[in-house]
Amino acid sequence: MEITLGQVLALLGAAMAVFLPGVGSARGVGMVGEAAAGVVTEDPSKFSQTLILQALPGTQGIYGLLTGFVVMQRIGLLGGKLLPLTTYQGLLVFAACLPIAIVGLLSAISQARAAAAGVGIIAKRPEELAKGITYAAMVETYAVLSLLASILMLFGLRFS
Amino acid sequence: MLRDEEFLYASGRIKVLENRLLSRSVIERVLEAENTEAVLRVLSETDYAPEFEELESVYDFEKALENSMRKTLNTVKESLKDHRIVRFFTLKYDYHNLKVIAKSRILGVDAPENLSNLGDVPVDELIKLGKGEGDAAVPETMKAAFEGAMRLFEETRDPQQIDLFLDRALYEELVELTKKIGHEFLKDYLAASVDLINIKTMVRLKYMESDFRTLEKSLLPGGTIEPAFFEKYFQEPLQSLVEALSSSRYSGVVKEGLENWISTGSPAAYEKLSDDFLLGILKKGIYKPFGLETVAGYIGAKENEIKILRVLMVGKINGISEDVIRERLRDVYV
Repeated sequence: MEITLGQVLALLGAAMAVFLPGVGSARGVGMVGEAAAGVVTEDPSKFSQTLILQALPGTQGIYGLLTGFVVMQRIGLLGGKLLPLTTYQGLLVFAACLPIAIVGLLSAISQARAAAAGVGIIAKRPEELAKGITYAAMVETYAVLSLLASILMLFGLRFS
Repeated sequence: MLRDEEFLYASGRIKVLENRLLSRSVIERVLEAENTEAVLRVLSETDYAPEFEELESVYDFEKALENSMRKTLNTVKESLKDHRIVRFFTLKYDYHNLKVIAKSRILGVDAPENLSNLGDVPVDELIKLGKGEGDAAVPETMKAAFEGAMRLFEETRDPQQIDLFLDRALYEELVELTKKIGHEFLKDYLAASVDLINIKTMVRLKYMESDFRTLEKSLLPGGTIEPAFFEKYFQEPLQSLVEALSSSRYSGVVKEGLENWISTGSPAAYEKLSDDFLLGILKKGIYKPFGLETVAGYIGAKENEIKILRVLMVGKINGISEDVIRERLRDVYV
């Protein structure tokens, strides 16, 4: 089978959709983890509350992976029969991956900052955990919107 | 430039520790305590309990306060990779020791036992330096400052010159340190403290009818108000200084503090207002979820708390009335 530039571009898009939000989430979860470790050093009873906040910036990585899977499925990689994509078709797939790749990376870090601030709420007023989660979860909206855009674009493309 | 993210762990820890700072209501209870036993009872419910329990006599309260401060500094140090922020706050203790040692040397007596243990330089090494032993493990900057101060004393035979020289050396080093750390918050805090001290120095010297040369030597470096400003207003009545600073950020401190100083002849109100103003800057640390501000704010808050407790303890031990103590009390951080 001859490999086309279109196929390379499509896979590059899938790779970016996975690795950029993945990097963002890893950094984000790490940041909140550091702040949470600080709180738990002084007050171990706050472990479970801080853990919830730590998990929040992790979702972007999952959205990226999901988008990556959709690309693989759409271009036939999962079935073992890669479609012979033209360069322009490949570029379309690449473009469809951009929303989640970029918004995923940046929103994970922004969300981590909000969640780390939420860890501060738990340090002071553990009963207000829900508010801390809500603030951080607001950032999630934009990660979800970009996931939606990427997925709709990918399902809208026709390759035959 | 330090990024906020480098302070995540320390800030998380400090957010919990901030809860253990003394609140206004605890201070009130200490203030209302009838005697020192009642004071100790109130403190035994706070973070100071272990330090005060160890005391043999309440007159040794300074030891307890110092131990508590040291515990705080160690906690912050072990939470940070970069210890320069802590150094910003501990440098003054080393210079204080240096002053004591310099003065002991000119009096020809042994250094007293109550040197501060809060600095970074071991007290024994400073004593070695005082005895003139060349191999004392003291930073070069401090060695140079000590030698400079001693030389100046040889020339002038005026012990006050030692204080002036070492104060200047301390602030020069602080300015250098904040430059190296490169964070606006510390620079701003340092500049405000220097300005407020310089204003105080000028007014004090004006009352003593000193000349401008003395003032020039006493002004500390690192402030935002230029020496030329002080030179101008040194010749004029105090009221014009108050007016000149009325559009600066120190207007509140200067207006109330200096007017009180003029009417009562005591700088106590000005000093209290200055401390409250500086604490106001530090308070940014409470509202910032993580960053250098949180760490610096907490160390400053603890120092402020120790100051409050010192005023309270001295007042209570000497049976001074509640109202008089209250006038001297600083604002609290939390």
